[in-house]
Amino acid sequence: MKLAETIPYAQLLLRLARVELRINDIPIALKDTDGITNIMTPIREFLVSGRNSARFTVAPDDIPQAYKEGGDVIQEGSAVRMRIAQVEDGEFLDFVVGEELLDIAVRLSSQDVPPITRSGTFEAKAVHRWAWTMAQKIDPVRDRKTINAFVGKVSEMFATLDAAGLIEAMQPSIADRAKAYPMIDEHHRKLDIRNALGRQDPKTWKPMPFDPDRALYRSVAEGRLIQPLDLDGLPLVRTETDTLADPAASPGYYPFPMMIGYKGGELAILL
Amino acid sequence: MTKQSEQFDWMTKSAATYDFSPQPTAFCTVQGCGPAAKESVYQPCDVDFLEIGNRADEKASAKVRCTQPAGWDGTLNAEQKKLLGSDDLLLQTVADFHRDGSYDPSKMTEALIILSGTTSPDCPTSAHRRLTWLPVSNAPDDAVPQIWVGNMSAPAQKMLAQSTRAQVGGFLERFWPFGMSDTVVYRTEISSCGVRDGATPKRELSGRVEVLPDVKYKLSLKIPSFYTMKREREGEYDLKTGTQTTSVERSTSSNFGRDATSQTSSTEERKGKKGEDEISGFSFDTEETSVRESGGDTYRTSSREGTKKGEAYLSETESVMTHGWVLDKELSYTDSTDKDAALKEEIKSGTNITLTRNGQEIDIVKSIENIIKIVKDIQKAWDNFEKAVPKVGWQASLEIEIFTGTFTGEWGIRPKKAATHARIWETERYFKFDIAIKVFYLKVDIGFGFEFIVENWFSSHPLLEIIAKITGAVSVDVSLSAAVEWNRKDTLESKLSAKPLASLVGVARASAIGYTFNASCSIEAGIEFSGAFKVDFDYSPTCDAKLEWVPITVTVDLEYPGLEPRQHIWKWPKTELEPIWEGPIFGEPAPNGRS
Repeated sequence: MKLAETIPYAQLLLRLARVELRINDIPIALKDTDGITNIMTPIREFLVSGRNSARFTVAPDDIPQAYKEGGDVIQEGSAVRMRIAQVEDGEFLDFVVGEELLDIAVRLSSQDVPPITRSGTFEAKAVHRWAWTMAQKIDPVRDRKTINAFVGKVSEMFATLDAAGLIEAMQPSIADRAKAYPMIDEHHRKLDIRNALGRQDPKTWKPMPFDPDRALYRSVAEGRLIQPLDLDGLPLVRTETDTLADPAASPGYYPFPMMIGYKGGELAILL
Repeated sequence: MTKQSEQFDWMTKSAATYDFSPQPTAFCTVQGCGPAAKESVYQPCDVDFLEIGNRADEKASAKVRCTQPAGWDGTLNAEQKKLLGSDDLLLQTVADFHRDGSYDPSKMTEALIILSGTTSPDCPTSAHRRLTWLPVSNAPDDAVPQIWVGNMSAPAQKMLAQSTRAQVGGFLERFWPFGMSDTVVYRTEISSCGVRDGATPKRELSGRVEVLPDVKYKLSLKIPSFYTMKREREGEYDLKTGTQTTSVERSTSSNFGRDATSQTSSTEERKGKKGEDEISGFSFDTEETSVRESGGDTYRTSSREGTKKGEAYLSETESVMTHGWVLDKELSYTDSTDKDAALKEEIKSGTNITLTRNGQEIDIVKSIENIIKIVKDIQKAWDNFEKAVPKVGWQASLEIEIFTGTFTGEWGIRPKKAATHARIWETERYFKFDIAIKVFYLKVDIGFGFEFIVENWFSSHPLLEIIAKITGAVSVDVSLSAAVEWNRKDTLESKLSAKPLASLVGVARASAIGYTFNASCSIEAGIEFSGAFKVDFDYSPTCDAKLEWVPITVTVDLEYPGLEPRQHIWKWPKTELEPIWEGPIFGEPAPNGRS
């Protein structure tokens, strides 16, 4: 009898707060809620063998939020809980499930001065040597021209629904995720991306134009990766709002979040 | 009522036909008073004084007296003149009153009204002094006017109050003695010929006696938390078709992404019908049966909803067939008839509520029907919510507290300790409440699951079924703390409101596919309370309230690198609904003409 697969999960429970979650300094979630939000995301591709770090930041001050006036303040009653656990496939991801690796919580008041950060470490075993762990350092200032060129190229491919080009740029990311979650292999992952882009209507597809002056390149993964953001804090590569094939089912925009780094001396989408 | 005096035939000659109004100024003659005797000998006959006293309580004997009409009295202020009206004296007092038979009439405390007055000198015809005693309003059916002429002394008049208060009404409404037009009123007059030598004559003086119910209420109310409801239905899967008979094979979609050995084969079937269970008297509108197979076991769940003894009734049973054996177990059982009885009994038992009138306890349980109705309406609303949930299992623990805590009070009518004026002795109304109550408290621990299917997300797997569940609590808490004592201008009105606070958390199942699941829930969801608590002499203490739905909204996002994100929004109620409940928690709505 085959044992059920266990998956490492990061769980973030937040109330009345804007919170970013990082694993090994890689931003994996950013949420802003006036209610209660629970984020559950598998993190196998972000883990290394040995000691790993997990950190959340309430009201982070290094991510713009042009859509919000007045800047960040801590709301009365804000609360955040971060939990890392190994969970069996099929189990409900509540806050007692699985083998707990880390659990940190904080309650905040309006007297607290943002940003508020809490972090911890836990032991894990990587199932693969991920591309991002081997990437050389990248400097968002020194390498900006190179980064602009790469992101501009990705943006152009996204704008023209060039699935083949995007898949090539994403190759390290696709390969790593197929190893992290082998339920869907590399071939099908590429097929999924081709079909997802292929079903979009070019006549209504409205990608945001790439503007290097609006590019904010965040250095993450301890200098190994760059997270391209727009000045409004959203992914730099994305469509305008409601240009999707099925906006009724999926209101909003089509984001193309990515983290880029060097692989073999060339930039690629590593996560 | 004494009948020693001269009596008139009340049935054939009403009080209105008797001329008790002042006669024209005239001379008295040996033939009697009247204009016809102008030529007769001049003889003065005029009123000296009129006095009304109450000697029911020797220690608190009240007395008013006058020697001249009120119109001549410059010491009266405007308010006192208004109280007197057309009379020269006013005596208000309290007395026991006829009521529901639970009191021994022989032990009733009556007002003892003493009437006295003289004219002088003696009337030559002995027609004066003339002292009358007339029922004006709310007098007993056998009351008649009485007249004492000449030296005939007026015996003490024993008086009881009346209460026109209805025997129905909510909470304290039946026991709130203020603002009612049930005062017993009698009028007394003394008259003479109105002839005085060398001075303005006082031909007549009048006084009014008003008797109010002698009531001293004392309330001690302490209701504990008395209602909790737990419901649970376990089930792995549920259909959303709503059709009478449905059969769906779910083995593929429900197990997508799982390890092959943990797959569950599931078949469900639903049938609906009406019927009647002759043995139990249970008439059901719907009967639903669902069958599912899990592993080697077969689960058959039957539920019936309908009425029994006129009350809503629900029964559910589940059979489990395992290895050829059938095991029956009852999942839940609801009989609202029994529940109501239990609720009433619980409220009635112990010393949670005590209301005394003049020291004797009154059954107040009937007045708490409103509280029971609120509980039932909330339960009904929650049942509707349960039906609205696209459930993969359901459980809820509902705890309601209405008007819990302590509520003590004293109110009534009592004579003032001293006269307001030599002509006026009043009664006074009073109330005093100490309140430390939870007006409304609701807490629901809730858990329900829902599923949604994502199409075209993965090319290799056309359908991805996400099973998520929402767990947490919704609570509303409204408290009132006050100490209020009446003074002339004070009334209490406290507006109460509370938003529901939800701590609902959505969770999904872990999946080896590797997608990210976000679930957001509103922080205000459930039932909102608004209301007002009022105490006023015009009507009994009331607490009007309204309970309304604040939608529960769950937004689920699925994210997967490179793919179009998917969002699923579940909201209930989808449209604005009528208030769950609106009306008085206790007390009746203000009568017409009052607000």
